Amino acid sequence: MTKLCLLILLAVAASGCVSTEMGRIQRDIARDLESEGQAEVGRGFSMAFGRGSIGTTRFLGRLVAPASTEPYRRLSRHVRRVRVARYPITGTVDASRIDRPRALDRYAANGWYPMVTVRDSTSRVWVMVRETEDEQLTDLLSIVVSGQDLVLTSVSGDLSGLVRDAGAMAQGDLFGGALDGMGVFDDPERPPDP
Amino acid sequence: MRHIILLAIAVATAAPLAAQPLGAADLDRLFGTEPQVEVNLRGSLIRLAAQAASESDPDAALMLQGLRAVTVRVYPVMPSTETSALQSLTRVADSFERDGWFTLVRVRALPDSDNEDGDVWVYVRELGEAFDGMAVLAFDREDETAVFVHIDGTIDPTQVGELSRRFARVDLDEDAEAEGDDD
Repeated sequence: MTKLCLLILLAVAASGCVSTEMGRIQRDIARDLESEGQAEVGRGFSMAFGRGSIGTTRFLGRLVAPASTEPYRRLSRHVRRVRVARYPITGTVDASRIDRPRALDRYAANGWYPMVTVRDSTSRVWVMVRETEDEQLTDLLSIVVSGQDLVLTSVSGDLSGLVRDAGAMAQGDLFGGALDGMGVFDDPERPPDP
Repeated sequence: MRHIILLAIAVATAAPLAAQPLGAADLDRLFGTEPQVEVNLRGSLIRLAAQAASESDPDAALMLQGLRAVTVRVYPVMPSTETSALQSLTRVADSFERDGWFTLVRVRALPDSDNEDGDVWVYVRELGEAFDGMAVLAFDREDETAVFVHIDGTIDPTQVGELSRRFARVDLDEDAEAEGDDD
């Protein structure tokens, strides 16, 4: 019984961590969006997965459908923690009015740096990353205001290993081409050199 | 002791300042706005991309392996702010020239020209037979953007066109062909 209580407490505490961190960013963005009175950020959801839950899904995947879950199991080995939050946005969104969330200052002070930011009238994106001194990617936080959603994602672990494996599996179409625009990974639509 | 500390601070700050004549904050100030797109790539992702390309495109892998950092800023330009944006880019270009960078390419869009691609500057910092840095500035009237790209790292002269295309969306071969056609 004591163990069960502790487990419940841990679960509550873990979800609190998600809501505190994600909530701070969500509040900053909601304030900017709602200041014009034309958009509103609704109640969304947030979830956190740690080593335990990721390991359990890996185990269950291998048990139930070993072949089809192999890519997921291979990639999830590199992930230590995932936090996701999604909030619906109603009304007319002018994303260019959203300022950089102040919560990101704390990230910057802890060694994170902005990998990508995008600002236009329909979307606002921040991707912050952190790497070790030996250039291994360990943390990624993405904040995306696009269309009718605010989506926050935080991933920690051996992300260099994750990208390496994802790249090998995608065979030139890494992350569905999401990183192609950055110029680092080549554009699959580019015509071959003569 | 105080002098040693001051010297250490000076040495620590000199390297990043020397790498690029203007910082991101300076650029934002010059253009009077936040960038529309900002990309900062450092070692980890560049190394990963080089590894990913090592089998399918060894030339690209070799090119990426030499890079230390890539900085991209794209600023929106409205028709009403075209003149000031062009002046800002010219100021940035001047700062590279003052800093001893070599002007590799300069394309000027003439007022009565059919070429609507806009102005392009490509600067390189020479290091023996290779380049130790490269910067591309582009003013695109059609896209209504001003683009600033700074690439830090060892660059083979034959890779300049490919790097311009990848990171600044500037096709130097096409520009050269257009110039040839004009002649």
